Amino acid sequence: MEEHDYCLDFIIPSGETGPTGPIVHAPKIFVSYHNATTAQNLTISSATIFPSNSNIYTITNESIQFTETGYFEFFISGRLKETTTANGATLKLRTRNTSGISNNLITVQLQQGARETYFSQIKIGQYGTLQTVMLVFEKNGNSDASIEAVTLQIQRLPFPYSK
Amino acid sequence: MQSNSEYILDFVLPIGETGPTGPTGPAGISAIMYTDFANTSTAGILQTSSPKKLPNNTNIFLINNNRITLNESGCYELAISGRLRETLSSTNAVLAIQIEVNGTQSDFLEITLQNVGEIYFVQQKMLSITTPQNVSVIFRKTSSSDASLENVFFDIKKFPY
Repeated sequence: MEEHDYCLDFIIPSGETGPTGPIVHAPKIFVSYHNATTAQNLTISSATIFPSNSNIYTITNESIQFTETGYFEFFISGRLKETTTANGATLKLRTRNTSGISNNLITVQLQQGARETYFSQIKIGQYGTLQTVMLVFEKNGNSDASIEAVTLQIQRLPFPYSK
Repeated sequence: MQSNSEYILDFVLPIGETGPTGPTGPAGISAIMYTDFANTSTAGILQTSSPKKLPNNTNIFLINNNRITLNESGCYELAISGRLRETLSSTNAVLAIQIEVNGTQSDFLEITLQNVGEIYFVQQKMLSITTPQNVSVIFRKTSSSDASLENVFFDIKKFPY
């Protein structure tokens, strides 16, 4: 038998491009707060971040810090009530930047004469600097107002910040 | 002279290298517009205050003269939030989101204050459209009512489906 050398000269093509990834959802945090009967910054009872590996939010006892700038949507709900007097009470969603400048993005008031209100509010804030978010419960005069069942959802919108 | 011989190549093709990563999936929100409205105690179309679109150059929303045009077919989420109150009478003040189709307006969503007092409200509703639509927010009340609206915020999200 004759002997021959043969060379197979070809390149194995790489696989096809993978499929398009899943829809990108904006990172969200869901926070519940302890009830309060005294004027104070509300303290956090529990917080859940979606997706769990997101590092956009960090949490302390009474605040949420953003580690990125951008557009954030806030959804707050709860119950304000007063039983014996009618002096009024207020809940403020306050943001504070790294220079210490504060802004009350949402304010909910229990008017004088009102006994209770179940409230909910939505608002979008735009932030070119990092922010700390807290809920401030304030009472007027001798009010016996209390606040209950407060929850806050924050969602970072998937758009880069621009002035 | 070439001999006529048959050869069998007996091997298995190796698996090719993994292809490049697929493109990033679409964002959960294609575009959003949001606006505050000026506080009012007067019936009529609410006046937008500092409306904003994201991304800035999107043509999905056109905002003109307190009317928002949804310029693409698809699925939208409308959300409105604020405070509605009345102290003197009980006349069923209504805040409504109106949709205009072919020049005919109809209420898409209503918030009614049925008794004297106040409500902090949030309402959300999905809207699917196949042709451009106009959206406006209107406040209705009787002349004897002292109802007022405060801190009204409105946003519309366009989803990628």
